[in-house]
Amino acid sequence: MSSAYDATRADEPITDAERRQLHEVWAQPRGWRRFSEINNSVIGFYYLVTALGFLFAGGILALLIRLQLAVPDNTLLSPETYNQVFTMHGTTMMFLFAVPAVEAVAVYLLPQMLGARDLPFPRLSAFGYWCYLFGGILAFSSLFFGIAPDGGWFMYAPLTTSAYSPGINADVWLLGIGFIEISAITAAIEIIVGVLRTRAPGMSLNRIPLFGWYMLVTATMILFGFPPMLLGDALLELQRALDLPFFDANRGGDPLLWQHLFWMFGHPEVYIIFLPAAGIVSMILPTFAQRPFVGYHWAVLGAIGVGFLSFALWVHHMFATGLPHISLSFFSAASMLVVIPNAIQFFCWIATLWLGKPLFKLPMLYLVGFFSVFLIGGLTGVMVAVLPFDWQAHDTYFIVAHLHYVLIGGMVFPLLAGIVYWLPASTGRMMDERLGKIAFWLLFSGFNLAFLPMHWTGLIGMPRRIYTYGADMGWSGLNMASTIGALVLAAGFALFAYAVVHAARRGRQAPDNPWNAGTLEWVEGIPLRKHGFTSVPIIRSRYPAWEQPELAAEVREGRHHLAHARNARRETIVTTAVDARPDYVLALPHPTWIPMITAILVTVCFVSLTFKATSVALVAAVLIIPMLYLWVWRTPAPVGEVVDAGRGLTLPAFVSGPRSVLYSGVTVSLIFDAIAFGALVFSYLYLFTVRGLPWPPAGYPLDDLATAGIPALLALALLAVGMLALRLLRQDRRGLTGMAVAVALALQAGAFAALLAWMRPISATADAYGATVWTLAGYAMAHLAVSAIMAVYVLIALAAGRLSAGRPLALENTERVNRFSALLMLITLALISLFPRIIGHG
Amino acid sequence: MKTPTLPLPCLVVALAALSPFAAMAVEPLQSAVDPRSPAAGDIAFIWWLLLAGGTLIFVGVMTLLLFAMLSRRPRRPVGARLFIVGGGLVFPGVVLSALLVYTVIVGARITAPPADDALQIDVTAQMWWWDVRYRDPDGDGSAFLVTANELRIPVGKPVLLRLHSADVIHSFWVPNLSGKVDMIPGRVNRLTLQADAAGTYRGQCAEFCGLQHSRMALHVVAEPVADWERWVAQRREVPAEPAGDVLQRGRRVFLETGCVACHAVRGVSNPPPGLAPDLTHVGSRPSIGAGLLTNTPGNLAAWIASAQSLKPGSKMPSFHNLDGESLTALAAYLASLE
Amino acid sequence: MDDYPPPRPTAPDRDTRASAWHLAAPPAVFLVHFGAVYGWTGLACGLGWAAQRWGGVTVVHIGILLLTAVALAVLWSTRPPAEPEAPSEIENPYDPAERRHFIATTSRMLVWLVTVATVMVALTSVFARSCAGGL
Repeated sequence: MSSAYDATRADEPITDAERRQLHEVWAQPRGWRRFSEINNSVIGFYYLVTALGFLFAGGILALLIRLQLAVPDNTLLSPETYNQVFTMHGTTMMFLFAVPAVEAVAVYLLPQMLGARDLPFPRLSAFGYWCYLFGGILAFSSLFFGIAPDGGWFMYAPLTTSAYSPGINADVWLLGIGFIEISAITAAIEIIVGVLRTRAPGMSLNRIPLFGWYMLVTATMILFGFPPMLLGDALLELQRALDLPFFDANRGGDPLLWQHLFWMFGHPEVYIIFLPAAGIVSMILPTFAQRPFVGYHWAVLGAIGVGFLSFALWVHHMFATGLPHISLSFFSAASMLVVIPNAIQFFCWIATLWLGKPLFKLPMLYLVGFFSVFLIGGLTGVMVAVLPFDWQAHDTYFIVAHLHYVLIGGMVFPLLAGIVYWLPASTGRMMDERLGKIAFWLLFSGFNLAFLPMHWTGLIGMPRRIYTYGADMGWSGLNMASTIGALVLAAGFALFAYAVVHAARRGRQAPDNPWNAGTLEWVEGIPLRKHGFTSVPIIRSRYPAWEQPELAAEVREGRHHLAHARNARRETIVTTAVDARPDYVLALPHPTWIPMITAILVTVCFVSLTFKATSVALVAAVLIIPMLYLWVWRTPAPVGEVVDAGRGLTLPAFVSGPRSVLYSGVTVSLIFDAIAFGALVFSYLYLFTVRGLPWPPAGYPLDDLATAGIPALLALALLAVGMLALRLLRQDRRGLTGMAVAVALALQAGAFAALLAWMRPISATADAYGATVWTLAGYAMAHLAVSAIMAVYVLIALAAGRLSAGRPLALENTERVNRFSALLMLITLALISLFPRIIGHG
Repeated sequence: MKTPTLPLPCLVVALAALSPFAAMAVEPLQSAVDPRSPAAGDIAFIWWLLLAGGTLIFVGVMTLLLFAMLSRRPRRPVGARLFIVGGGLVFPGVVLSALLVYTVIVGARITAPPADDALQIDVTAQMWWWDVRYRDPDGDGSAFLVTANELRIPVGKPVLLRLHSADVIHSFWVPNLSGKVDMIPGRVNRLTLQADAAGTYRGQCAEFCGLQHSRMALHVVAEPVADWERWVAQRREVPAEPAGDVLQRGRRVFLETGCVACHAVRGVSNPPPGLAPDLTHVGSRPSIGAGLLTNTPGNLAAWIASAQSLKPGSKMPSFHNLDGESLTALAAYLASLE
Repeated sequence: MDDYPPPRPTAPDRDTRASAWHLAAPPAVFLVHFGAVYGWTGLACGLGWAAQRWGGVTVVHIGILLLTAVALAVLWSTRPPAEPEAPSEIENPYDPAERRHFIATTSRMLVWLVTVATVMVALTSVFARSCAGGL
């Protein structure tokens, strides 16, 4: 309780000089330096524009597909080209448009909705964006050189292994997906920590705008869903590049392992795309129903329910693979169960409209499109969850129709509604009603004409991914209808794009809260500012613009928190995760080239690996390390010990330990890492269940326990020394800390060498068993290397006097990674050495 | 904004809704909604049930939604809980549980294996054709009859298919008779196939398998039991010597041009199995090139001369150097192998 | 507005941990149960134990039943007590009453959702009796 606080008086208004400084500190640099900006509002905008660019690029590919299929026996596209086009259409839409687009909306709008000046890791977002941009352009442009991926967006092995796809095409796919993984995980870290820790004071869990809840669930799903795919990609590339036979049935591998890993990601992926869109709907609907959302906690329940149930659905993409009927029935049940949380959300929306006084404005028209199209997609979703029906519908145009109803209905229509809705917030101008209406009806009718007949096309026998069909098949009329529909749909998209550009340039000026919305982003007026609010508002309700009428004026006059940038620093308030009590003031980085340069180096590294220019890749990889050092080195240091946050509130300028967002960020990364390792352990156990006893398979002797003992002891020593180092630093004995870290470094090198020596007798290419245990060991060794790189940084920071008992964060995080690596190593040793003994290796 | 009443979009949507019925006028060559077996019949029934139920729910929910959105009359305050619990939890919970139990029971019936004495056929998919081997019922699992891209089965009798793959993942799908089952390297999947009526049923690979995935079809010919037994008996005989100069010459071309390196003809050539379709009775098959062309001597000649432009990427080379007479003779010889 | 500004937290307090636990536990139980029955069935079918019976019931189903019973017991033990609805007018924005009610209600409903889901997954196996693959 601060003595300076006076409950009866709001803070002094912000002075003109302070206001000017606030704007200057947050201003985007001009000229070339504008691209060094890292503010999430700017990066979010770039993200969204890029994603929409890829939507149009993917749309052109869709038109090519439709033109090829318009008439039977068409020769517009050769089979090679067609296979590349449909593969890149799916890949572009899923990875280069849909996922980045929802991340874009999130990083663009969340700071405004949560009342933060910025999310906690702007450099990370910028890095993710540049990786996405470079990787996306590279992957897409492979089409122009005829080396685009051609194995389908699902890339089933063994078709995509080098035996059947010797060209570089599949590697290009893996390259592109690598970048998307990076951008997804950076966005997930940013969103999870951002939603939990940078909400405005008072915005407790029950007052988060629903979009925030949906994004929290989505980001958590990315955290659990993307690692299996990352691992699958790594295994596939290892098989392609180094002949490790994970998916080769002749050498003990199993093609279905790829499908499991892919769909463990691939199904949650659908909901990773849909949930943010549902969040957008839940933000727009109350505005036009002119009442608060009905059933807030039901919607949160729905989001969480969809989130976790979607991880129990992956095998419903594998209903025809011949798995036991019992196993399939679990997934059939779960696929139907996921309807329940979705239906709960749906009926919350109906109830909100029913109990409100709905106004039928332009965004609502797009929501009608969403409701009707997505409802059909949901109903056909139930149909394909039915095992016997799916045995017919699977891999036919029925599925093509279903998935487009779900994705275009469930994601694109809400996104368009969101663009119409937040356009004034972004540009200060409104979309022309007439243009918006015509565009909608073109989109809606074109969509239905294109995709409604496809259900039937599938039922009368047309499989997916065929480049042509005979005139006698009886599919010609329906395909022509679909092609005409696709052209109308494309016209709708073009007109919508025109309407947006037209609005941004010449649209009608919008009033401050044009839709009379209730949520925070509209409170201080439009267009939105890069620093969010003049003063960070104190929140007492879910709809502050409706329920705290005094808020707009107070916030604008700077009478709430942190109405200054006195340290000439970008800063935001970090609050506690549950009740959003002010915790400390986080100093944020200013515009910097580091994220972009790092992204360029990563790009050079990945691309040269793809084209087998190993030495270039090595140089780039080595250069990344000093860039990362610089990155951490340039993490803004606090000015002074405390910051005056206004209203008599004084907050610390620095914290360490679990309270720090940097600590939380590392926690989230480690969870991601642990899930990826879990997927690898799954692969090992999966190959065991496919293969059965003896384990290890014939030809592989089981080591004697003593040889596994040496690396195990080194790992235990590493654990102990790491903890000791942290303890010494907390006692401020920096010299001894340095020595302990040096010893840890030596132990890491020793453990690395010991693991390598231990693995030597095992062949990685003779059998999938050897490939998997080598990958397990390699995973642990990679972590030892990362720990060592971090330990070197700690030594540098110690020498420079940057670490002390009061500033232990760098060592804390290094220590956690070190501990994690040692644990990975112990688990790996146990899996390879103890597990076969426990199951009685036959 | 006024209530939307736009004639054009309504027209387009109506067109979209009607187009399937317009398309019914053309008889599709393969169809899941024209079932000719108990399993396909069960599934088609489930489809019509799902369609009816889905349509009812769609109309109901959209009516509720549009009424809530557009009606200007003051509405009775219905409790939010009734909406959300009733519509979101109870209704889908009850309907889906019933659906799940019913369809899992049907699924169990469909997946049940046939009796032990059922005919067993090994089908091996490869890029991009089907190798078909009938198992000797009394033997050690060896084949007594080899063919390709066609299956002949007796009407009304369940047949057990063992599905293999020689390279990448394929999927066996004959929509009028059954759902699809993937063919996965290293695994053997099973499928019970039965036809209730005599006829030729087309099927097609349903899992993307590379360049010519589109051109990988097969035919299931169902015949009355007596006809089928006659066919088997005939298949067991070694084909007769070709009669006449043209056919003799055709056989010579067959032996000298390199066909025999890959293609087997019983009594004539015997390459390692699985390289290329067995041609012992190729003349009686419905199609050539795995459903690519109807089987006529002219098409056979076209296929031999220019397989690579008809089906680029397949393992069959284009023998465009053959002179016209040899080509005609070879095609005539192959067509005579009935 | 007496306790404003709020006392600054020093570490995640008990409320934080409890909120996280109550929201995360039911989904975790569902996923672990689901993974366990799926893994168990795969193992039992793969190793050919499926045909073995014990008192007329197959080993597969006995395993599923046991796993489900354990899951439900764990699930209901995580269920938090109900919290009263908070008054709608609040003075102090950091008053936890409203949030407590929200977390308790949501996680209690989650427990119900997971109960339905777990039971439905387990029950399905009764109707899908066989390990036979494909069609």
